[in-house]
Amino acid sequence: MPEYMVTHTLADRLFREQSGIITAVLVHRFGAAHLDTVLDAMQDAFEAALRRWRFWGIPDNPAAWLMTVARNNAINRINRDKKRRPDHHLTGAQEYVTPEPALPDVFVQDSQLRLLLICCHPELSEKSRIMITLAVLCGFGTAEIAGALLMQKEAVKKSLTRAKAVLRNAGRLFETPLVESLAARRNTVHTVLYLLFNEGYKTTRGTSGISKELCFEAMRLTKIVYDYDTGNREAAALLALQFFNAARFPARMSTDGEWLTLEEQDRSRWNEVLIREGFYYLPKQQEPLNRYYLEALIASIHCTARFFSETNWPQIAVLYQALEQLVPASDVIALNRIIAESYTGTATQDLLDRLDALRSLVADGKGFEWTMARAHLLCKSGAGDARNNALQQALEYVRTTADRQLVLRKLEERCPPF
Amino acid sequence: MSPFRILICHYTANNFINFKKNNIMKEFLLLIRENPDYGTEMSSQEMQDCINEHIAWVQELTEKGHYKDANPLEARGAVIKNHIVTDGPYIESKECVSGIYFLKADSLEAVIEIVKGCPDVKRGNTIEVREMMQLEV
Repeated sequence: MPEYMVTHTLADRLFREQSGIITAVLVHRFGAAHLDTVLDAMQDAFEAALRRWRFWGIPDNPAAWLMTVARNNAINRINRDKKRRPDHHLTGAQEYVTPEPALPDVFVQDSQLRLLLICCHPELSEKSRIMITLAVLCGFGTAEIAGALLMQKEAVKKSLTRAKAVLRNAGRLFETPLVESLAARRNTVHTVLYLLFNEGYKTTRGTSGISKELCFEAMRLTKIVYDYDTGNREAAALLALQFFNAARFPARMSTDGEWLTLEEQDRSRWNEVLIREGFYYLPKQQEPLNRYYLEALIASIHCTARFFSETNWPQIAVLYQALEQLVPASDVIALNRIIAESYTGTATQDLLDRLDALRSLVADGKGFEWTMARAHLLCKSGAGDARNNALQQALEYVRTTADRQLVLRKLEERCPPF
Repeated sequence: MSPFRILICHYTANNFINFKKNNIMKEFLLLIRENPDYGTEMSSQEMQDCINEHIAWVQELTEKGHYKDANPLEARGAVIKNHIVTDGPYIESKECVSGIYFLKADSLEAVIEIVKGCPDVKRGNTIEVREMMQLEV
């Protein structure tokens, strides 16, 4: 057995993070045109590690080992391709054959940011931007992406193939200064990271770890954007929002894997360190207002209420109102505002009427949220039977077992007296 | 008796027990057989989990004194028969030996129980266990 056998295991999420870093650094070096080669070379490096480390244990610096092996694989593959096609116009790779000193962090971070910007290509749909980001920057396999986004594996595969073809032709982005490319795609990047986190957050109800990984990856990438773009308050607000939401992870599920509502959660299980991080990044003021800032403020109000009954609902309702003006077409925000106002003494019938006007949410795949909100309001108005009917209806829109369990539990409970 | 002397006695006694224990333990060779494509469909996280499970398993074996050695094998090799050399080793076979372990245990039954806990078995690979013959009977 070689000398370097060590008994400790690989650090949490090391492979996931390294696969993103290796892809980014090698694409930065060899160009986006070589994306497929880089991905294959990286996969080979990980397989080589799998074959060896199962028997030997891990080397002192597994990250450096993976980077070196992947880089050498990529060089070999590119040189082989060049020999086959001597007039090939792609830049060569020979100059990197010699071993190199450790990569500076700045280079690694910049490479990841550049690759993220490429993943936010305007020709891609929002969903494919999320999928390709997960695939190339977060080391997600096709099955994992399908599981996390509640999609079919085949659909994910097709979409990734198309996205990679677009990315291969995005090489120029590596030649323009990072500041310029970021300025051009800043909003798109923020949106993708916001949606990536939300995808994880809403499906954490569904199954176990994998969806939480989406949130952690969104946070890691947002931090990279923030670190480069420190003066940008939108990025800071987005990061704050993610920390506030992540702080509540440990309490969102019961030990039996059942989803718990905000009211039912054991608030002592909220992660105080993450809440403090949230406040650290939360900008003190924001002009002009943006949705991340308002949502972060709302999340911070939840996080600072020691009990559900202490929640400052009037303030939350006002913030939702501001959000509605900022994002006029969002029915989800309107729905959340209705829920918030149901705790502020607004007449329940008015709220029910306003909810009825949002019925189009059902057709938009938000049937679960809509029917659950309706059940909540009916319960408040004392219409127990109608409330139970709404819950029965909600059963038709459940997406996960945890969704179903929540509805079934609510059906067993009677409306609490108000 | 001086404390020093007690210490020496204790040391010798312990050594004697260890010596006897080592003598009783038999040695076994484990051949791990797996599909040459093993790992190609795994995501980075799955690979990391697989490696970590192995390290934890080996760690447990080491603590209990069962572990002796292990090594992966290159896929590259050759088969020699009747002076004819062919590329090997996996002609027409879906599984080839990817690595070996040397373990120490009291009996074949005991080592079978150990192997049942190997992460490779859980992941559908085949493990062949063979007891090594010993020089002295």
